Amino acid sequence: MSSRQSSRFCIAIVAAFTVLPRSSLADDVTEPSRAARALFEGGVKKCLYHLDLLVKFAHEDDESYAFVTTLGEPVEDAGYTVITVENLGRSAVTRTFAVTPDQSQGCSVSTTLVTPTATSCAVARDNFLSDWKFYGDLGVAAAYELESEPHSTMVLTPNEKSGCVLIKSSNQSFIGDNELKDRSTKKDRKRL
Amino acid sequence: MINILTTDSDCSLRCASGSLRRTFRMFAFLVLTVSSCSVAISQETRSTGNAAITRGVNGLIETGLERCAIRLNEIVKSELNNDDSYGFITQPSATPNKNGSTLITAEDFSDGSVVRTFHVVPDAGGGCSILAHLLFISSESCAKLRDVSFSEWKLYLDLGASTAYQQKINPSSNSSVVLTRVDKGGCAASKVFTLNYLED
Repeated sequence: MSSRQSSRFCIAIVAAFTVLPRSSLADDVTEPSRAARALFEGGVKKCLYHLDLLVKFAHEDDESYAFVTTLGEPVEDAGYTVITVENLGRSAVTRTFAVTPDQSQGCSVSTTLVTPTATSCAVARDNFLSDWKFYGDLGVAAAYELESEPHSTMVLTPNEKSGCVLIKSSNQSFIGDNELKDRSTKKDRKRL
Repeated sequence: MINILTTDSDCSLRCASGSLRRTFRMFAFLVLTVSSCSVAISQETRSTGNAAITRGVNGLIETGLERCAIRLNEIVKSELNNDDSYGFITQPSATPNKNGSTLITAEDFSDGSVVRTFHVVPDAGGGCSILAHLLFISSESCAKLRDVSFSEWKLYLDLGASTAYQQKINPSSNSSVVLTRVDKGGCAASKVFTLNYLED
């Protein structure tokens, strides 16, 4: 991995593990992401607003990722999934967003982030997860938790090539739902 | 032996069939299609307490999950050969019967390991949505993994470091797999599927 790729990778790691600031959601003024638009065109109506915000937070540049949707029957209240893959040179970060209109008439989103690293799990833990506390031993893997993210878990599992794979699982519940719409202003569109 | 559950989008509405795939080196991907309709847990099983409940799902029940626990248990039982062979942690939400919960399991094999994440949510329509994310970390290359285990899958995108495939048997499949090259060799295979049940 070159130094440039390495720094990009570190930035991605830090960004991925940072608590999602609410202000970043509230202030977001752009057109819908490609992933949200694809689901909308596929017939999905519910919870796209929240998915769109999460995708944009994960991928600042909407052209920086590829995605695949796992859309089942077009049942109104059924869950759906988007997998995004962002290439980072010799490896890639894979994110899975599973969205369900839930019983509270809001939206539940489960996010799974998979990041392979070339370093050992011990080094990855020291470098990226210094604030995370050991939570449980899963045998082949170890789980960590972060006080500021009570509904997130980080699992580190080694691969046989002395590297490590980081898996972050987060649950987020949004109260209510909003219609997905183009929130960009005329000024934004002109700039784009 | 590694079980990777394969489903299609029709599964939530109709009964599905099962098939067995070839083994790959020391492990095998046993492709089981979930017969979520036909294998509904009987009332008798429900009434016998937690005898047939897996350790992982029982852990979630202890955190307060009641809705959709039986549905999740079916999936977990299909996935894991042996209820004693995995480690697990639970990740409940503050209100698991409204916003859902997550179960994470890890299992070791002679040539790799599998981390499974099951996310269950009681949906707005009174049914259950279950996401399963299965991450298999193999010492083999992604090319070998693709050729042997996912040869019938349709290539969806190729990013160099990663390739994504969707299940070929159904164009609207809700099952996808992403193979990502791991530094120093090896491959991380993320398989994701969603199941939507119309009833709890």
